[in-house]
Amino acid sequence: MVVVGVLALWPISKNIVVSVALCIGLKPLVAFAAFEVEHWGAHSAAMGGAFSAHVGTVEGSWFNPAVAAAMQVKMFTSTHVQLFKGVPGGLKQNSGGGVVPTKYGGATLSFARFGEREYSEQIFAMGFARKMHQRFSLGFQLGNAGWEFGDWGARDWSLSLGGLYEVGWITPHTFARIGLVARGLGSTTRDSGRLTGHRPSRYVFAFELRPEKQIFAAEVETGRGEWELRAGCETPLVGDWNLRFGGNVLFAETLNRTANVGLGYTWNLIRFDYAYSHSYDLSSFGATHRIGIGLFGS
Amino acid sequence: MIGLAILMLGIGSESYAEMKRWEWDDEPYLPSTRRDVVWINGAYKLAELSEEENIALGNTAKDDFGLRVPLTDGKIDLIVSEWISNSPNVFGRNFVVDLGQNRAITKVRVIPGQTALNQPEYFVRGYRIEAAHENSRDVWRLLAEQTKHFNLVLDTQADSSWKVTDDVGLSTYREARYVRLTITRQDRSNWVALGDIEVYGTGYHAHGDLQFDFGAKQPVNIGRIVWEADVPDGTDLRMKAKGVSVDNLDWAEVPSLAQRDQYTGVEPVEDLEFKVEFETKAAFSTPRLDKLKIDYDPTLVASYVICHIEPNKIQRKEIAEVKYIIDAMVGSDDYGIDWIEIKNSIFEDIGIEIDGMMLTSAEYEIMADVDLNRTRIELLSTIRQDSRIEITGKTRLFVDTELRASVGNRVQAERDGYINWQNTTENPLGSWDLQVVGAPGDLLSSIRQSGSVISPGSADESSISFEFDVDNISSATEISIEIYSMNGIRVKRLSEFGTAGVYRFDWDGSSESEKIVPPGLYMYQVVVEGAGVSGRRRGTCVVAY
Repeated sequence: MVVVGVLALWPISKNIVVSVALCIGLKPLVAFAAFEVEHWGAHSAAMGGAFSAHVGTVEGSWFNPAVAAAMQVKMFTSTHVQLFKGVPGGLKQNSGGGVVPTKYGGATLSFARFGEREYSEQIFAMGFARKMHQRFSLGFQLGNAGWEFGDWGARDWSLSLGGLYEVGWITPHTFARIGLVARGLGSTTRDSGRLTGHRPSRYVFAFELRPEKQIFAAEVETGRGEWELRAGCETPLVGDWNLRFGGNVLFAETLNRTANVGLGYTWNLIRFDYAYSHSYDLSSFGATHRIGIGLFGS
Repeated sequence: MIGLAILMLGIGSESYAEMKRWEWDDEPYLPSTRRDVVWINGAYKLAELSEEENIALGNTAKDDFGLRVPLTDGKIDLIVSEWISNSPNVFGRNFVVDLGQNRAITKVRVIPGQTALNQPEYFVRGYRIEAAHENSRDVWRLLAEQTKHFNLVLDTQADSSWKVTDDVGLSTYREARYVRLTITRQDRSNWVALGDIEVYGTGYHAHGDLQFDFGAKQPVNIGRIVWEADVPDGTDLRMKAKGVSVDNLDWAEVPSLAQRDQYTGVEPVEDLEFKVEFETKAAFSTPRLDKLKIDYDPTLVASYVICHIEPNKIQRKEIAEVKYIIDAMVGSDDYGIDWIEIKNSIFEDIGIEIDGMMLTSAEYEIMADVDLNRTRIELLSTIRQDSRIEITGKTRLFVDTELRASVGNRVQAERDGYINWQNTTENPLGSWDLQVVGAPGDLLSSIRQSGSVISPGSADESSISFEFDVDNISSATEISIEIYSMNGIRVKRLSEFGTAGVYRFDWDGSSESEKIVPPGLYMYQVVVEGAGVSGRRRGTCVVAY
C-alpha cells in the first residue's frame, strides 16, 4: 500500500499505468465478500451519508471519485469507528485517506479495515479525477477489497466512476451541485450474483444545496435489489463548531432506518469530527460512534 | 401325522387379530348431543340461521359512556333488564352491540322495556341504526333510519326503514360485527325505556358441535383417527376424544386431534366420547365433516400398564437423575412390549432394568427426538410376561412436567405400518409428574454457539447451532433468533413458541428465500418476547466459502 501511495505522487501517466497494474496484479479470487459496512467517515456519517455531491473533504472522494478534481489543497483524514456497541466482541473499523491536487487533477488514496476478533475486511483504493469543464468533473477509483477468517479468504477488485456537475447559483445565495456515481463495477464472471441473484454494482444520484453557510444534501442509491435514501444537513453552531444531522433508510427484504447526528470542529489546519448513528430497526444492537481527524495541507 | 403337522405349524408363529376400523359415511350413529349442527347431503355442517334467531342474545351491549347495559339478555324486566333514560333528553344517546365477529345482518328489532309496556309513551320516536365491520370499527354504515316512529317495537323490516338493498332494490344483508342504535328524536315530556336490542341475520351459525359415543364392547387400543372434512378459509373444525369414565377431563382440557393422530387418552379403553366443534368467522361458509374412521386394535400391547417417576422433585435447570418405573401386566393374548416412549422430556445416559436384571446397551436402542421432546426406546427382546421396567436417566427441566409413557410392539407395527402406541396410566400409588424446585433463573441465559463459522456444503461446518436456556416465564411466548448482515438487513428469522426450557436453532447460512448469503460477518440476536417479558442476547458469526 505504501508503494502504491508513493507511486501516486509520480508523474501522472506513469502513476496511472503502474497503479492500475499493481491493482490488477493483486489476483482476485472467486468469492465476493459482503462488505456491508460502509466506508463512511465521521463527517459524512453525521450527514446521513449524503455525501456524493460534497466537495471540500477527503471523505467526499470516498463517495464520489470526481470530488477530488475540485480539491484545492492537500488533505488527509482518518476515522475510527465503533459499530453496534451492543454486540459483544467489539466491531471496529479504521479508515483513512488523502487527496493530493496536481496540475492535471486530484489523486486520491484510501484504505479501510473492518474487523472483529479473527474476521477482517480490508479495502485499498486509489483514484484520480479531473475537471473536464468549468462545471463538470469526472473521476474514477480502483479498489481492491479482501476479507479473511482463519483459512478462508478472498480478494476482489472493482471500479467506481463518478461525475460532478456544478449547477451553479440557483438563487443569489444558494449554490447547487449534482453528483452521479456508479460503484462496484466489476467482472460479472466473479459476480456474487451467482449466489445472491444481485449484481454488486450500485448507482447513486445525489444533489447538494448550499444556502449561505448551511449545507443540505440528499441522495438515492440503488443496486443489489436494494434502495437507500440518504439526507443530511450541516449548519454552523458557534465559532468553528458545526452541527450535523441526517438520516438514511435502506430498503431491502427488511428496512434499516438510521438517524445520525454529529459535530465538527476546526482548529487551525486540523478538523475534528464526531458522529453518532442509531438504527431504529436495530436499536437493541446499540449505537455506532465515529471519530475522525482531518489535516489540511497548504 | 396330519395333526402333528398342524400342531407344529401352530407352535412358534405369532398370530393376532387384525386391527379393526369403525367408520361412518352415513348417519347411523345419532349424536348424543347436537348444537346448531345438521346432517345434510351426507355430511355434518353448521345449521343456517333461522329468520327468528336473535344473534345478539348473550353478547355485549354498551351505551355511549362505555357502560354495559342489559339490552342483550333476552329479558325486559322492570329496572334490572332494561335501560331507562331518566330524562326526556335522549337525543344522540346510542348503544353498541358487539356480535363477537362479523355476521350477515338482515334486521334489527328494539323491544321496549317493561316500564314502557306500563307507560306506552316511553318508546323510541326517531332512530338511526348503523353497523361497523370488524376491521374498521370507526366506519359506520347505515342500516335503517326513521325520524318519525310511533310504535312500541322498533322493527327495521316491518316498518320498512331497512336501507341496505341489492342491485335490484331488494333488502339484503350487511356484514358487520357492531350494531349501533342512536336515538335521533325526543319527546319533550317523555322518557325512553329500552328492553332489548335484537339482531337477526342470515348465513350459518357461528359455532356448533356434536357429540357421539364409540363403543368397542371390549378394552381396545385405539389407533389412528382419520376424518374427511372440508374446512374453507375462515372456518375451523376440531375433533376431540376422551375415554368414558377413564379420562376425567373437561372438554376444554381435552386437546384437539390432528389428522391421523393417535388417541392420547388412557388405554386400553372400551368406550370413547367424541366431540366435534364447528366454527365459522365467515357468515356464508361452514366446515363440513364427511367421514370419520377410527382404527382400533382388539389385541393389546399389554393388558394393563401403570407408570410413575422417582423422585418427584428435581432442582430447576440442573441435570438430575431420575427413575421412570413401568409396571406392566402382559397377558398371553397380548402383543408384548418392545417399544417404550416417554413424552415431554429427553433422557440421557439411560440404563434399563427389567425385573431387576440390567440390560446391556446391545439389548436396546435409544432415539431422542429434540423437536418433539420425547425419548423412545426399542427393546431387542419383547416382554411377554408381567414385568417391572425401570428406566434410569438424566434429564433437565425448567417447569413442572408430566411425563407420560406409551408402549408399542414391533409385530403390530410391521403389520399395520405404524406403531399403535398404547397409552399408559399413572400409578395410583405414585405420580408421573416431575416438579421443579428452586428460584427461576435469568429469562435468557448466555448462548452456546456450536462454532463461529458456517461453510455451506462442507462436511462439518455446514451450519451453526445456537443453544440457550429460557427460564422465568409462565406462559408460552415467542422465542426467536434473527440474523442480520452488517448493513442492518435481516437475512433470516427462526422462531418457535414455548415456555421455559432449552432451545436450539440451527442456521445453515441461507436467507429467507433459501439462498446462501454472501460470505462475511453476520450479527444475530436471540429474542424472548411476550407475556410482559423481554430478553435479548447478541453475537456474531461468519459465513465463509
